[in-house]
Amino acid sequence: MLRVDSQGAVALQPPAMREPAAAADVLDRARSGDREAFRTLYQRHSRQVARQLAFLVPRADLEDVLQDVFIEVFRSLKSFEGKSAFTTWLYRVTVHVAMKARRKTTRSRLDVVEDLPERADEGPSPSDVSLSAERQARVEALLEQLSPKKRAVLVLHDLQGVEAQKIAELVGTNVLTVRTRLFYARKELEALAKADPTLAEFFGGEPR
Amino acid sequence: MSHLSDERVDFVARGEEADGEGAHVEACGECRARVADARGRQKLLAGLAPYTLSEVGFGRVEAKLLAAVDEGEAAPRFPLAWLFAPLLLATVALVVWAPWPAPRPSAPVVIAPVARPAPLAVAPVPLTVLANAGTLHPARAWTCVRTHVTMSWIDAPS
Repeated sequence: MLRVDSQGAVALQPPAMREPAAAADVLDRARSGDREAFRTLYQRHSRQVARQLAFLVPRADLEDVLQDVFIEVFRSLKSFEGKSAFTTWLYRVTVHVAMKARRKTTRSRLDVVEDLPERADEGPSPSDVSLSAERQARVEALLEQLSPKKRAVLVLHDLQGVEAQKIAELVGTNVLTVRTRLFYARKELEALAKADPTLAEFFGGEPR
Repeated sequence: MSHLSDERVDFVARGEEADGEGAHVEACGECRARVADARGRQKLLAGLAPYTLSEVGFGRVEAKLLAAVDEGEAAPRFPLAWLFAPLLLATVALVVWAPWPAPRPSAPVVIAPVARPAPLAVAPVPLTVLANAGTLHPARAWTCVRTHVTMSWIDAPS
């Protein structure tokens, strides 16, 4: 949006000033079934939703689940009353759809997921900040073995840094349940990782 | 000092120790093991590289979504489950309040008297048998008498 100052200079209006009104307008139009408004909504928030979905769903299912999230958004927009920020509501929808998503059998969409950065060196040690592609795949496989509820709490808390109280609001339960799920999710993940020869090194086991 | 809580174990594993916790972990084998496990898990998760869709993927999802909007597939679904609610209620009401017919009294069970077997009528051993038995070896004679008694028992009317 362009604005003209007192000297006649043209400048871009700061996003923070134009965002709320424009966003509300887009929301209103999308709520009434406007196709273009929905497209705008998708283009604005799809990257953020995809980032939130990482590790909540297997990477092979990311595309399908992202689509499911926005279908659900389109269906439920009328129930969004604006009591919370749209992004908060969207996050809640995202987590719910991710928890309900059933694991797909197909692995054919790996090509559309961005490649991981390959490491040039050999034999990374646990002290390395990032995991090798193989280890990353192993950890993702372990996360998939957790139940959706446990995985959601673990990913939200330990990977996305969401506080327990906020998680409780997102998944519609209480803090105590969140902490319990987190405890068991961590224990399960540790046990699974210890049993995995590729990852046991992280827990003082014999390196592979 | 008691064992560290799960929350504190996580903090200590990250190097955020409160007063006395470090000394406790040094002295307590159980807490030391828990901290080591937590540290391993934290390293594992910290090394994960987040992933997202490629631009091709985002574009494909956008196309599918717009197609779904155009075809009305993304329209709010009619909650079909609500149709089953009255049916369910009616079934429950039927089960709970329906005047079921009283169970028909069953006929009294009559136990048939057990027929007692007729007393065994053993025919007297004829003299000829006894006479023959006297001429036989004692064992053979006893067999003859026993056979005669058995046969007369089988032939007897019940």
